Amino acid sequence: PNVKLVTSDNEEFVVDFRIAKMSVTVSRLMEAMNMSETDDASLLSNSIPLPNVTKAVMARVIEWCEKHKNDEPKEEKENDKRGRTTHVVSDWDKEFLKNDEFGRLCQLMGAANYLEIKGLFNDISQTIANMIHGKKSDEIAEMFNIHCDLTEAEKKEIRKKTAWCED
Amino acid sequence: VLKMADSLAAQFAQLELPSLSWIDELPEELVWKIMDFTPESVFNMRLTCRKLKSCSDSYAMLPSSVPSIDRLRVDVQTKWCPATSMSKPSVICVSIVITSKSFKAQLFKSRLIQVYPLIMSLEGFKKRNNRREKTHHFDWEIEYEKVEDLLVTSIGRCVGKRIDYATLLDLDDFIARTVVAKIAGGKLFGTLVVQGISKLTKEIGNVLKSLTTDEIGLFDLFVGEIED
Repeated sequence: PNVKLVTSDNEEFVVDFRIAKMSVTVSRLMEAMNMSETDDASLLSNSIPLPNVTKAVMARVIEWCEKHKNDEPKEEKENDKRGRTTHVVSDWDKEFLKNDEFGRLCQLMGAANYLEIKGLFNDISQTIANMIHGKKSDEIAEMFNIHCDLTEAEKKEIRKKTAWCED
Repeated sequence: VLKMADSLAAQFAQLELPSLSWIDELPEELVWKIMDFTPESVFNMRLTCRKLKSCSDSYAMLPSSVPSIDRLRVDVQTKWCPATSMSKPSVICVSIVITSKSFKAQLFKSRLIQVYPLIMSLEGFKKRNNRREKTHHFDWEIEYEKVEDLLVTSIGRCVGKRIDYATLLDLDDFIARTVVAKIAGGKLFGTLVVQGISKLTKEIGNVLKSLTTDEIGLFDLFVGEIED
């Protein structure tokens, strides 16, 4: 059976029921609208509105879901033994995300969060964290095209605290 | 009028507004999520822009779930005065020693300076860096009468949810018990060693209960005698 998803820019995506169920948000909406896998009429007559996702982003989300629809549900460890939150990004996922510029990753992260697709959300969070890891503040600013709007006084105060921390 | 409004809306939609950095558009909770994956970067992120500074500051103030220390030791010590100043009495101090692997220490310091800025000039506090072992050590030696509630509570907030190895001594002592309850109460422990209890009283029992409500890998308790 298929489910119709409608994006903020009115694009309709028809996806497999299993893919739709990968999103906790979509699952809840289907439940609220009495849509069930065994009731074709309910699936045909309804569509799920997703006002926070554009068609370009939705297409990427569906591509990710297609690849992972047969995955066994895995238990994520919030913190590893060393106390750091970690998530293993598979080779396919690395390849999938590697050409997305930062802005696109942020949009995808926002969509994964809204749709509650934990695997995709963690893949993106870990990927962005890896980009930031070990970088100095000016390198982070340059990489993400951040315009520094801190005043000199604020910078001085931060540097004072930073110096204490780095000492 | 409606036509004009539609036309204006269409023109507005086509306007190219100066784009903000994507960081500016990410909700704070999502930035925190990224920080969870790289807590050691929080300090460097603070100096990039006001948005990330604000996110880093609020991240440091969150009820800390990400652990930032490895070892904790609390005991009571007597600080003897030098022989040259015999007139001064010896001073009883509470000693708090925290050890943190380098990658976590940044987060601990970042949290500490945020919740307790006075730390930068606090008397009796020392921090040192062991480059060979890649660890940071934080030592507090606080005179018995000067144990400040805000400081101890702040340390407790900063250590995070889990402590790998804690050694708690001298729980016979009321101040040591208070310090331990505020720093280590409700945490998860890999190993918890409690020593130096001459008599297990109800008060000590209550502190131990606050320490053992959650998962502990190994719990060593050394007690002289148990109160009826």
